Amino acid sequence: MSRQLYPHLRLDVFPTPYCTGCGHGILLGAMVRAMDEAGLDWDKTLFVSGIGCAAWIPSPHFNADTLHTTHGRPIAFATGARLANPGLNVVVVSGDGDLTAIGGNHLIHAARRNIRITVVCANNRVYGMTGGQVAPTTPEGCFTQTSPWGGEEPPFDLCRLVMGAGGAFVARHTVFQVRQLIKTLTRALTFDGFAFVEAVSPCPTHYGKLNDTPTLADFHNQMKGQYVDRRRYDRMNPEEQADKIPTGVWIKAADTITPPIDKGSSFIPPSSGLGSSSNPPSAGQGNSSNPPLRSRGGQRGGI
Amino acid sequence: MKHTVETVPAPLPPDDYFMMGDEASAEGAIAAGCNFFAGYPITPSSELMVRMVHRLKETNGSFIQMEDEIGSISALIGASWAGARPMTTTSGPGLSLMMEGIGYAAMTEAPLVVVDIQRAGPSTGQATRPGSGDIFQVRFGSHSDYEIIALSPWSVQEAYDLTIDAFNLAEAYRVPTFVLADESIGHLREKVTIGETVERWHRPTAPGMPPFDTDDENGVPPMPAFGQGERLLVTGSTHDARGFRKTQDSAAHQRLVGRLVGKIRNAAEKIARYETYSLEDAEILVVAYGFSARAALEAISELRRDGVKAGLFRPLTLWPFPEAGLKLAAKSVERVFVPEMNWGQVVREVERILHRDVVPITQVDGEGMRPQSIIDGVRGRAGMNS
Amino acid sequence: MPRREILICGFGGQGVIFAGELLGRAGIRAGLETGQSASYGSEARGSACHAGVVLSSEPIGYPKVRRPDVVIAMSQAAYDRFASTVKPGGRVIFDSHLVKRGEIDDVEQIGVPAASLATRLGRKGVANVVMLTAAMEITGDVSMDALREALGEQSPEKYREMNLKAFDEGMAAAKAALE
Repeated sequence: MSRQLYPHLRLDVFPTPYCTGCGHGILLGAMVRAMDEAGLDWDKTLFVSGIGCAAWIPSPHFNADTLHTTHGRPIAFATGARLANPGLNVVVVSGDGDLTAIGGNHLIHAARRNIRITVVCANNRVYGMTGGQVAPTTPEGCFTQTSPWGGEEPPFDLCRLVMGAGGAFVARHTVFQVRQLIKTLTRALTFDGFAFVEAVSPCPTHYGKLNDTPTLADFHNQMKGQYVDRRRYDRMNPEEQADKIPTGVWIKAADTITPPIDKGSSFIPPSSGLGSSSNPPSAGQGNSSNPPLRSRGGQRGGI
Repeated sequence: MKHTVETVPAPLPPDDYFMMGDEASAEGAIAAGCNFFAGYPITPSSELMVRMVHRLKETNGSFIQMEDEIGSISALIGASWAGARPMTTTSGPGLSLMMEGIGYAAMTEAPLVVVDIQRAGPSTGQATRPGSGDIFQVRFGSHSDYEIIALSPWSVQEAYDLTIDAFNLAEAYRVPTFVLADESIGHLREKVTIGETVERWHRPTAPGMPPFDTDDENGVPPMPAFGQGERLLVTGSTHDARGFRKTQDSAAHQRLVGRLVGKIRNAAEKIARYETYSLEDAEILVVAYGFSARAALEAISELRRDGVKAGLFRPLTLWPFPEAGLKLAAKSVERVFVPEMNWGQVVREVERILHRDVVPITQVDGEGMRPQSIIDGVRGRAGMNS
Repeated sequence: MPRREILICGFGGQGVIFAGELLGRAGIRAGLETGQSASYGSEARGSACHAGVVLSSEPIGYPKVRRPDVVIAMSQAAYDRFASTVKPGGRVIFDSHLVKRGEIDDVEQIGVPAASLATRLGRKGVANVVMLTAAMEITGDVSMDALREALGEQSPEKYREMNLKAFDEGMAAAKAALE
C-alpha cells in the first residue's frame, strides 16, 4: 500500500489479527484504496461493524470514526447514525453471519428503504471467530464444526437476496479480483443510495482445512474457476452455469430507484455534534386560551 | 465531567392542555430537545410513537419506524453517537428485544431514553391492559453488570415532566434512562400544565479528551460525536479510555465496569427522588409508585377517615431507589405495605433496604390498581375489620 | 363541585372512547379537574369497551371511576354489566333503542333513543354524541356550552357539522325524555 495512505490506518495496532491466508486483509487494503479513489473525507466517514472477524477490518484499523456494534446490528446502528447526521458517509463492513443470519432482517429492510449507506459483506462462508460453524452462506455439502457430515441446507445467494429486497446497487467479487473489487467499492462508496458489495473471502483456518482448500493458493485456484464475470455467466447455458457464481455489479435502472430516505432531513449541522436547536413552536400549534390540544393522528373512531 | 445547562422556551405555548399520558410523554420529549425517534409499534405505546412522527416533522427532527425493537434501540445508539438526543417507546415484549442494545448503550455510555408503557404480561399477556411487570427487566434485563436510571410517573403531568428529566439525566450521566409508565397512565387523559421554559442538560464535551475514562470524581467522561474529527473508537467490548479493545486486560475490565456502575451508584442519592404523604404520625406505611400510588393516596385518606394512621412513600425514581428517604419514612412505622400491579417486584427492593418484613399487595388482574385492593390488603394484614 | 364519576359504556366502534374524551375535554373547558380513562380490547371493532370520566373542582387523587354517579349505556351488554354498579341515588341513562331496561333499586333510569335519532340524522355513528349530550343535559355535570365547544374542537373537520347537529338532537332528546 502506498505510504500516502498510511495516515488513514492506526499503524500502532498492526499487524492485523488475521490468520495466514485470510482474505480479510486484502479487503482491508481494498477498502482504504477505494476510500482514496472515491475522495471521501475520512473525518466525515463512519465505519460501522458488527461481531466477527470481518468486523475488525475497520475497528480499530481505520483511523476514522468506527462503531463496533452488537452482533448482527451494524446496519441498524448505521441507519440511526446516518439519519441523525446525513453529513456522514456511513459504511458498514461486516461478515456474512453477522449481516445475513442474525442481522438478515436489518439488511433486507435497509435495502428496501434505500438508505444511503454502503454495506460491505466479507463473505468467508463460515463463522470464523467462534471456531468454524456452518453459516447461511456455506455451500451445500461443505464441512464445518456444526455440519460435520456436510451441510444439508442450501445457502443464500447474497446478491440475489439484496436485489430481491430492492437493493439499488449490488455487487460481488472475490478478494482475488482485487482491481475490480477496488473499482466496485469506489463506486459503491459514492453511490447515492443503498449499496451492497459482497466480497468473497477465503478462510483457510476454519473453512479451508475441512474442505480440501487449506491454503490461500487452494482457494485461489478453486474460486478462479467458480466465480466468473456476470457477462460471461449470462452467456452460459444452464448446465454451465450450475457450478458457477456470477461476479460484477448490478444497478437498478435509475427510474426504478426510490430516492434515499435520508435526504434533506439534516437537523444537525455536519460540523457540530449537538443538535441543540431550540425547537421553536410551529405556527398553529395548540392555542393560547385554555386550549385542549387536539390529538393528532391515531384518533379513535372518526365520529 | 459536568453537563452543560441550557434554558429554552417551552415548544408548546405555556398553558393547560388535555392530553393522554402517551402524548404528554411525546411532548415532554420534544420539550427536552428530542430530535431522533426510532420505534416499532406496540400497544399501549403506539400513541406516543404516532405523536412523535408529527412532532418531529414540525421540529425538523428525524423519525423512523424500524423493522423490530432490536433495530430501534440500535438506531438510537447510532444516532446518540452521531450527536442526537434520541428516544424510543415500547412495552414489555418490545423491551425484552431491546435488552441487547440497552447493555451496549450502558457499555458505550450512549445517552438515550426509552419510554416503557407497561402492560399486563408475561409474554403477550393482555396488550391493552396495565401491569408493572418490567421493574426488574429495565434494571437487570441485559446481561452482566451495569446501571440505568428509571423514573415512574403517576400522572399525565408527570409523563410530561419526567420525560424531560429522563433526557436530562441520560445526558448528564451518559446512561440509558427509562420512563417506566404503564397503560393506566399512558392512556389516561388529564390536564397538563406547560410552563414557560424548559431546562435542557447536555452531555459534557471536551474536544480531544478521551471519551471512555475520566479523572473527574463523577465518573462521567466527555462525549464527542461522529463527524467531528475525533476518530472515535466505539465498541461494546471492554475498552480503554480511547476506545481500544482490551479483551484480555483484567485491570481495564475492572476499571471500566467499576466506573460504569460507580458513576450511578455514587450519585444515587442525588438522582433519587421521592414524595411522602401523611407520614407525620403514620403507623402504616404504604410504598407505592406509578399509577398504584394514585390508588394508594386515595386509600390512605380513606383509611385515615376510619382511624387507621396510614402514610404514603412514593419513589419517583425506581432506579436508583431512594434508599435514604425510604429508611427515614419507615423509621417509626409498624408495618410496611407495597401495592403493585405485579406479583411482587419493588417489594423485594423495599425489603432489601429496610431489612424487615414487608407485605406485598398484589393486584394482577389486568386492571389499574384499585384503592379498595390496598384498603383490603392493609386491613387484612393489620388485623382490622375488613 | 364535589367529585363526580361518569361511566360511558358500549362496544368498540360506537365511539365510546371518543365520547369519554369529549366529556373530559368539556370538563377542562368548564374549568374542572378532569381524569379520563378507558378500557377496551385489542380489536378495533366489536369488543366491549368503556370510558370513565372523573370531574371535580378539587384536584383529583384517583383518576379512574370507582363507583359511578352516572352510567351511560349504549348497548345491552354494557347495560347488563354496568347499570347495577351505579351509586345509590345515581342515574342510568341508556339507549332506549338498543337496551331493554331492568329494575334497579334507588336509581333513576332514563331512556334516550339515541341510535334511532342518529339514524334519522343520516349517520348512526353520531349516536355517541346524541347520547352524551342528552345525558349531560339531564345530569348537569358539565356546562352545555363547554360540551359544545369541546365537540367543535375535537371533531375532525369533515364530521364537525354533523356532530353539532347530533348535539342539538341530544339537547332536544333530553327535554323529551324528561317530560
